[in-house]
Amino acid sequence: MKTIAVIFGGRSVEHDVSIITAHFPIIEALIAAGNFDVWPVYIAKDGSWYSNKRMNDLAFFKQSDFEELLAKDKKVQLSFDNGPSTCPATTGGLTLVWPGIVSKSVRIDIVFPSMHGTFGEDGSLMGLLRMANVPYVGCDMTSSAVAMDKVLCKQVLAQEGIPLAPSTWFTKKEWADDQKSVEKRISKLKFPLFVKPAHLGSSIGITKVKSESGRLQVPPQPAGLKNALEVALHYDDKILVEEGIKNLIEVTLPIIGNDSLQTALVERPLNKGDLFDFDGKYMHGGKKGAGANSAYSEIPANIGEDLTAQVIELGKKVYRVLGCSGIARVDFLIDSVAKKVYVIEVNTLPGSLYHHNWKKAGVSNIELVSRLVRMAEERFDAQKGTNYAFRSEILNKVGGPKFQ
Amino acid sequence: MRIIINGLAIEYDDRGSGETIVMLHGWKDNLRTFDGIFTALATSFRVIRIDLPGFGGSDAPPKDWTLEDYVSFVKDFTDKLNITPSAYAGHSFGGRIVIHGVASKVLNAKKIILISSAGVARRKTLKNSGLAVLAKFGRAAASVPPLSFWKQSIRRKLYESIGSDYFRAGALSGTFLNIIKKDLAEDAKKISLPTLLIWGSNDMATPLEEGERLHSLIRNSTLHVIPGAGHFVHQERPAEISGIIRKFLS
Repeated sequence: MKTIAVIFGGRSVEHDVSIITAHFPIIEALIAAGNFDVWPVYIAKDGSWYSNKRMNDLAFFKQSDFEELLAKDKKVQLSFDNGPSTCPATTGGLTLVWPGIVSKSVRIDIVFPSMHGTFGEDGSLMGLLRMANVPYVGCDMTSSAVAMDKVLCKQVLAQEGIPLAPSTWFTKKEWADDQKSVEKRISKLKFPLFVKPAHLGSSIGITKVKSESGRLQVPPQPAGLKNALEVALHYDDKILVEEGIKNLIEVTLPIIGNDSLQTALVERPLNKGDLFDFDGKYMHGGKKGAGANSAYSEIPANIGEDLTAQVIELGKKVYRVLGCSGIARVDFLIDSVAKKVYVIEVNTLPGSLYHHNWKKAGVSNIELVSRLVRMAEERFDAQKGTNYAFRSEILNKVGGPKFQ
Repeated sequence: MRIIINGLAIEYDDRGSGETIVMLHGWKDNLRTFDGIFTALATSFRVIRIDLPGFGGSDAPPKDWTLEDYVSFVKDFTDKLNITPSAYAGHSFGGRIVIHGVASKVLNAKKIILISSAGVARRKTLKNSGLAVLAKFGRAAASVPPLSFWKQSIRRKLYESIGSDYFRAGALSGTFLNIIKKDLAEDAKKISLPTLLIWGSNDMATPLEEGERLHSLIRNSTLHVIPGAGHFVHQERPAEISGIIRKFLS
């Protein structure tokens, strides 16, 4: 039996979504699979780490005083150690340690990150796990970091000729120092515009602006664009301003795999508002545990064979360009009249793994998490073949003629 | 949609056109409480509903807020949106904000609507002030050994005696204590605006007698009692309530 740590929570505005993803489907399916000893590792909003098996039950987090209950627990520490592992496929070196007079420790064979947004999905956690030399599920540090920065992601994809909506970007400092130059860049874009914090997921802080003053909107908005920029700057120090696409159809495509890829079904969120926002994604699912909103989606999207094929081809290309592995979800905007597909962003940890879609594609929750774990082991094994050591005489030469 | 008010990201909904109604929800509630009447009223009015700081999708206040802080917040919100509301509608805790805001002349409107409003519980106010002190004392006492071993159950018992809302208030518990200790009878007496009071006859949280008390304190008020309805009367009878509000505002 392999010991697996599911890490969730964290210092992110998507903290609560992360708790849901961790339980539905990850922990539930890992336990149901029967061959894992599952350790839930919860990172509180203040950054404290806790681990206790009672947290395997989502009901624990539904208690109004769960934070007070947690405060009584010993915080868990991480120990990096390259000793032997119980998992033959790995030489992992992560141990959970509860210090004290009678200290306790649990050696971890594999980690299943279930963190959305900052300090988790952005590559930070993956960097930590890489240092610990432990296999982990999902995208690696580099692809996670690039995908999490919407601006950087667009820059990388543009270089590879991926079709993208016209956009510009700026930092909080630029806005403070030279607002006019930022406004000039934005003025070259056509309304409607989407103003987005560069690093946030779940559509948090995103505003659709129909006109600069907001006066054309009904009801009129307070200085439309300026308000949207103010909201985005409240959440992030790097902002993306992107043109809307005409005759819009939004679709998304979950993908799994390392070298050979499998796509789920092309999914179309049927939101009524202007944005498939946080509420739309998570609050109206209705059915307990549905996670990402399955009730308001069309799966497969009724967009015709040609567009479906374009989406799948483009999705796989994006996945490879960013170096994704394990799982990711690529979001697209389609101009339904021009039949043109644009890539909008990449999520390296889709909410609830988009298990509702995988289920329709014939992949059960147990199969999904089991395959993701296998992919993590395969990637870890493959990396063992890479030589990171390099023998050099440089230290011996310090003090020699070259350094004088 | 969101807007930044004094450094806090505030979620709100703004629909329709015409005379503006601003809706304020109750404690531990959010703007969706008005789902049933919001859409119906937005066909004739511009209706704005806000997630108050600490609730729904809005940021929490940076410190324990008082009722005055919530009133100032609503004023700053309407200023930033550049609107002059024709009416404020408040449910429960939202009613407290409306009563105090209008009485102190910080909030201006032509008419106000109070749905199962809190603020004038004759017995509870005295009890609340006493228990608020007790809760603070209890919190300190329960941190001293050996009481600290039973801290959780002591606190739970104390809070249950104040009202379950306090225990559930979590990070907002200080704010909750600030809010409940204020009796708004004097404020209610100062209100001269046409006021619509809507109450469910079976309201357990703010019983009908509190509605009757407000009716006697606010000189230009009308009390509509909805037979059989409870504290969330606007959710239980949305069509009836939006009809009453529409008639009152026209």
